[in-house]
Amino acid sequence: MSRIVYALVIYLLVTVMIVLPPLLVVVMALSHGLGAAIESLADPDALSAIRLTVIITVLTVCINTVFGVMAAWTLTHFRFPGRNLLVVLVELPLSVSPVVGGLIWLLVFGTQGWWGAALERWGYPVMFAPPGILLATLFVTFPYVTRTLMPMLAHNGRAAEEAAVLLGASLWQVLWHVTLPGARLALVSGMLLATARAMGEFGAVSVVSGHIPGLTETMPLHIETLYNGYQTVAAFTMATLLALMAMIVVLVRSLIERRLDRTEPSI
Amino acid sequence: MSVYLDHITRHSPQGGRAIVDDVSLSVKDGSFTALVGPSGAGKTSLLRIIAGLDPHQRGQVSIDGRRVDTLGARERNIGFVFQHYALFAHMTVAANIGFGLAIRPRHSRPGRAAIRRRVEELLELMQLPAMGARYPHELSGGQRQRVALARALATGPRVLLLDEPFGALDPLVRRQIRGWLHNLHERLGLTTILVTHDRQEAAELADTVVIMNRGRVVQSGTPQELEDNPADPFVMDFSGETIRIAGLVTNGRFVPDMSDIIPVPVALSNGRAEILIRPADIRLLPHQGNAIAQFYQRRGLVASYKVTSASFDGMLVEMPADPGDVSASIITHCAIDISAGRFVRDNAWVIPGYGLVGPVISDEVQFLYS
Repeated sequence: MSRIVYALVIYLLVTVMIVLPPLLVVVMALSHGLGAAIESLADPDALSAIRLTVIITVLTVCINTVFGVMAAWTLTHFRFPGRNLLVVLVELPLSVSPVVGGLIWLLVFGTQGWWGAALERWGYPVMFAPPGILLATLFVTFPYVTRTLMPMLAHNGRAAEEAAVLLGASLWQVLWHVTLPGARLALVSGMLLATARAMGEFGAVSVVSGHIPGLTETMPLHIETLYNGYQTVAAFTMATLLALMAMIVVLVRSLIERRLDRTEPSI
Repeated sequence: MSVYLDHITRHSPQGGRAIVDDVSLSVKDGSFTALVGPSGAGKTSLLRIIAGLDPHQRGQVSIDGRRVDTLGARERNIGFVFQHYALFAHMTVAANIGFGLAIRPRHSRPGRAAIRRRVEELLELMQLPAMGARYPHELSGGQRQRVALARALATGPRVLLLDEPFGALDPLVRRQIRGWLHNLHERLGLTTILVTHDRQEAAELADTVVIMNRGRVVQSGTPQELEDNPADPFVMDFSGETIRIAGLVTNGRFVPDMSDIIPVPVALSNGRAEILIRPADIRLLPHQGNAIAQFYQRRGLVASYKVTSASFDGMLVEMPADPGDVSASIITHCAIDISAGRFVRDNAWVIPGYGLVGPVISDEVQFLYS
């Protein structure tokens, strides 16, 4: 009996807190019909925002996968002074407000910053331009690959890598044929988490973007601009699209995680 | 190939304690050598130093007369089998075995068909036919360990190092794979070094047993040499069931602290001493004391008794069993004769070269069988 009550309470909570809001977003998007919604996406600024988000996300995930693998490998394989501090620092972007993350870059590359003026003079502006957005997104998504990979590498241990070395494998061959395949599901899982976060990042990007429609606006920023401009249908359509993309990523990740539980017995 | 270790020392990474302390060792070509010792003795560390997996601070490692400790683990061409198999979980058995060949640089890499043939050959040798397409997690522990061995042999190593290869297996599989490994060594004649904490395993497999303790080599020799002439009490303690009896030497007589043990004459200065003795070397003397020997078990031709008296409890004594299986179940009023044991003072033998005679059945015991 009490089990049913508990279940009902959970269902109610999940419905109100998690299912209803996106549902309302979809309803709002379709309030003027499907045609109007699709039409709003065809707007050049909207298309530009989608394109920028995709490009930034792909670049971010690629770069952070490389760095994340390096960081995770180094942190799990070596014991050196300051290692624990580094582990904490890797997680810092998770706890620091994204706005602060954005401000850091503004401080370094802004016109009042250290190198900003010089870069701008040479024709490579970083702030209020896509490179700044990339840097801000890199900062907030840095921990994901590292933190999902580290426990897996620690769990797999060094023996398989040592076996590979003794069989004549080079560092690259060990990494490519043994270490990463051995942790591939954790790696993909971390990459997908980073993807979801990169697509939806607002705070950090907002500080460095400059909100130039058609140039430096990502999807989340464009949604805000549209909403503030009372273009309700366009704003909610874009929001629906963004939510859909994120949901697909999360779905793929949970499928992979289920496989991780089932078919990756430790040897 | 012979392996030669010259004054190897390795300190723990945290500094301070020596894990391997000035070890020199010569392993003959084609021999099967076992490194035995309690955990923490430094045997695995020594194996990892030979393989190049762990660094050492002093000394040299040579294989076949050539120094190898200047080479990385990758260039030494040593076969290594880990305690927990360390198979590549995401590869099939065949890919695991062929790994060492498949990753070679193009100019020295055998063709795909040649690799496949070699893998088949090894699967056959390991008695694992038709297992090539399976994944490691689908195999039993014994099968996994054989795959690990096949993988180590695939590249034609100069030396085979085995780090507690049976540690994770259940006793029955352990015994099987042990016998099988013995045959394999006979067939291939590959110089093999085995690390184990199981002295029986070492004695059964190896022609040379090296006993280690606290980072040092205590003694090495054939299993029989170690049994006949243990270098110190530790070796005797470690290489078989040993009973220690403490006592006091006064005027040329060792008087045990416990009652019902016959004093032993000895040419030794007065003071505390100990006798170390194997259960099979203890004699039971009926009608000479107040101890009670209770039949414990019979294994083959050996019967063992547990002897209890006012001052000790359950001391194990072994003797040849009566062929007719009418060994007495209880022997009362007996005493114990430990004159076949070895004297120890300050943790060292006090009478060097003190030989042992085999178990003797005294006339008094013999009559009990009838």
